[in-house]
Amino acid sequence: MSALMYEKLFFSSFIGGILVALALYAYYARKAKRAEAEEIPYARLGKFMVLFSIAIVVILTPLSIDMTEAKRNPSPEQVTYNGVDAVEGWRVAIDYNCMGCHTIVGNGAYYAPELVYSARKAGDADKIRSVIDAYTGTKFMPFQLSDRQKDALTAWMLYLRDLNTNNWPPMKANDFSFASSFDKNTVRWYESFDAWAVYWVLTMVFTVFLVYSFLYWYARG
Amino acid sequence: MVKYQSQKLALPFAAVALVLFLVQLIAGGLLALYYISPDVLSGIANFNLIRAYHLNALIFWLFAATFAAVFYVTPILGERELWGQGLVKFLAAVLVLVVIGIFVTLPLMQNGSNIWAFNQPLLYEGKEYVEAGRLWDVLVFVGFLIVALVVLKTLPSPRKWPLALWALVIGAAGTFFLYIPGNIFFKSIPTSEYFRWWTVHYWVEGSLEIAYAGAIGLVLMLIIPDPRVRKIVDKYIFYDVVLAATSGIIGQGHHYFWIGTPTFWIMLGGVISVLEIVPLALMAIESLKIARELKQPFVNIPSLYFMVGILIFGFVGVSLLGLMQTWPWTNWWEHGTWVTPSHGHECMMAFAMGAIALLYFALPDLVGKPIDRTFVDWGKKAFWFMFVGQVILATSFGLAGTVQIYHYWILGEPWQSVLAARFPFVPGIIIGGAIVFVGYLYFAASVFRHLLFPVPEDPYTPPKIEKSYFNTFKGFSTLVVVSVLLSLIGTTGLWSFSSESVLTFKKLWIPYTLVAVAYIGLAITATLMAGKLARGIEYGHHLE
Ligand code: HEC
Repeated sequence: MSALMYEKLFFSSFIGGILVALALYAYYARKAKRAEAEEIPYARLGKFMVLFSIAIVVILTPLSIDMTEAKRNPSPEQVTYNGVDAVEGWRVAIDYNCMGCHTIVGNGAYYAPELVYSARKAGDADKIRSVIDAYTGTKFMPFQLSDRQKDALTAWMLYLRDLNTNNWPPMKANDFSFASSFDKNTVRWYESFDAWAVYWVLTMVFTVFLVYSFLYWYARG
Repeated sequence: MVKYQSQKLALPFAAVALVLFLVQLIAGGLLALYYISPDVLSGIANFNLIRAYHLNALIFWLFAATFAAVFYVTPILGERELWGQGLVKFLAAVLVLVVIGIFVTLPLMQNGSNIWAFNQPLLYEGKEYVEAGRLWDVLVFVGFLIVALVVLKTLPSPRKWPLALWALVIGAAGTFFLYIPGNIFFKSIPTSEYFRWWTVHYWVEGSLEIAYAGAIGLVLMLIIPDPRVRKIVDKYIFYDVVLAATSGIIGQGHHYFWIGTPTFWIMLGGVISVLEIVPLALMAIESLKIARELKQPFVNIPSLYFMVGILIFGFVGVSLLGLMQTWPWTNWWEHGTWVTPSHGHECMMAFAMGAIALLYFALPDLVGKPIDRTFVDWGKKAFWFMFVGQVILATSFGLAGTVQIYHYWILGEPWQSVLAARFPFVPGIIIGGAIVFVGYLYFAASVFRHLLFPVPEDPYTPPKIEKSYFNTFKGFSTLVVVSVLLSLIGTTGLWSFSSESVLTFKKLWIPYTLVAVAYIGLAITATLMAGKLARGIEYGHHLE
């Protein structure tokens, strides 16, 4: 049900935007033929659209990074293993640059397994810990870690496991779909489908602007 | 000979760029070696160290080449010598110091000996693209300040600057400021990744794109000192920047689908990043128009070829390979697989070619020698080897990534089996990389020859050649449309992983065939487009 909803909202806005742009352009072209069309004030419009996009990103930034009350993701300080927290684990991960071999939430290098995926497959803390144990000091990960560092990394991988990544990576457990548990992933009101109405309008505006600009500039060369 | 002696200060920066480019390619080769045999280097230079070299060499040679271009053009535009030449020399020294510093400190990651203060890592930062340490970041900041100061002092009245110069300067300044957010340490992974993408994405979709649009514009204006050209270039840059910014700023959202950030990005980032193809498609078509407008032959052929390279990799690599994987439904599958670097390598090659185009453009003037036949021959070979090599490499990554999707996500195989599934494509990556390397050798050889050896006085003039499909603009727009269709076929291919046919009935030929058609088709159309545009201009077929 909600999987369909995603697609409906997405494509109605996208295709709707393209259609509106085409209609506007046809209207403009007819006027231009009769030499009634006014020059579009692109210098002003363009600057406005750039500033508008910046404003949107500025507004959405605090909403995106767990600065509000309802947190999507666990706090790294609160995820611990053997008394060591995930923040310390993240520091160890930086010190050894895990991201230069592994991906983390999909970003990084592709030489080694995705760590969110590994954590979810392993399941519980002790299993994660034993996997880290198994690989450190091997030819794949030729470096030594102290027990405390391994505990810290275990806490950090537990934290990774519990991030709300909108179901990614694709697994049987989430029906290979990012839409299969939309309600669970929607933690705050401004993520819900009701609020998507606003984003629907926004994407429509951008689609119209960009597609119309394309036609306008293409025709005028 | 150059008109202003201080333009020669560009040379040390060009030299740094040339050396770092070599380092980047060698590091790339060693990364490939790890996929053939993980034992050879393990424990000596681990994969992550070499990868950090691969990325940081790239970042710093692009910086160095951009600086070289700035110091070369600023005196021409200001019609006087550079202000603060001592400072520029100091900057060259700082740059060398920073690069050496980075390369010496990165190996510390192999045994985790970082230093932390004020909750921030100091010696290196351990995140993709922003590995370099805090001390080096500060020095880079000083470097950008020096560049800004020198440019502002040499060209005192910004009101008179052409838009192209503004674009170059804003792009360069933006590149630095955007370097900051990615470097900061945040405790939370979503926050950390959120801001790291400000660096990486806004470089590629923002500041670097703007800087290179400005650079191309300046080159055109310098070649053809006709006020009409300045007008065309100004208009062109204005809407290119506006459209790229409006689609790119929120298009950022395609990095925010799965990193723990809210669902609204799936809507905003999805739709708006799809539209990122608008500015680049327009640029590809528009460049054709500008090419037709050029009323005189283009003399610096190597530079021309590499500028065409920016356009084609910009359109096919950045836009169309990007389009295939930017829809939430396809990104869901390809994120975290080798499909991503197929796009990434073509994007970065677009910028690399921009830097090379600038170096080639400045070189004959800087050393005061003509553009002779060998220079053009080697330059063209450098272009074709790099272009074709990179296309082969990117195509191999894309195909391997598609296979990885099935084995890693759907079957959930252990890692060694995933590596085995990707392995058949590794030779493609290695062969592609080796071909790029041959291109580099031609590039470096042509540069050294011009610097060090006497060059025959008679300038190169293109021979008359028979017109054909491969050296005229005929049908170029059709190729643009075909390419877009191919990338939609690829989109369908990646999306089809979600279908019952694949998930339940294991009809793997559906995604594999569609994706293969898309990647291989795009490799062919890209090569055709590059050839038509570059050769069409070279042989002057647009003049009649
Ligand atoms: C030099 C590259 C490299 C670095 C650095 C590295 N790893 Fe690994 N790691 C590997 C490789 C390769 C494997 C997979 C070996 C295999 O399964 O064949 C692996 C496997 C793992 C696994 C097991 C995954 C699974 O699903 O079986 C975990 C967990 C892991 N690494 C965690 C880490 C952490 C945490 C760090 C940072 C402290 C790290 N790695 C740094 C290369 C690296």
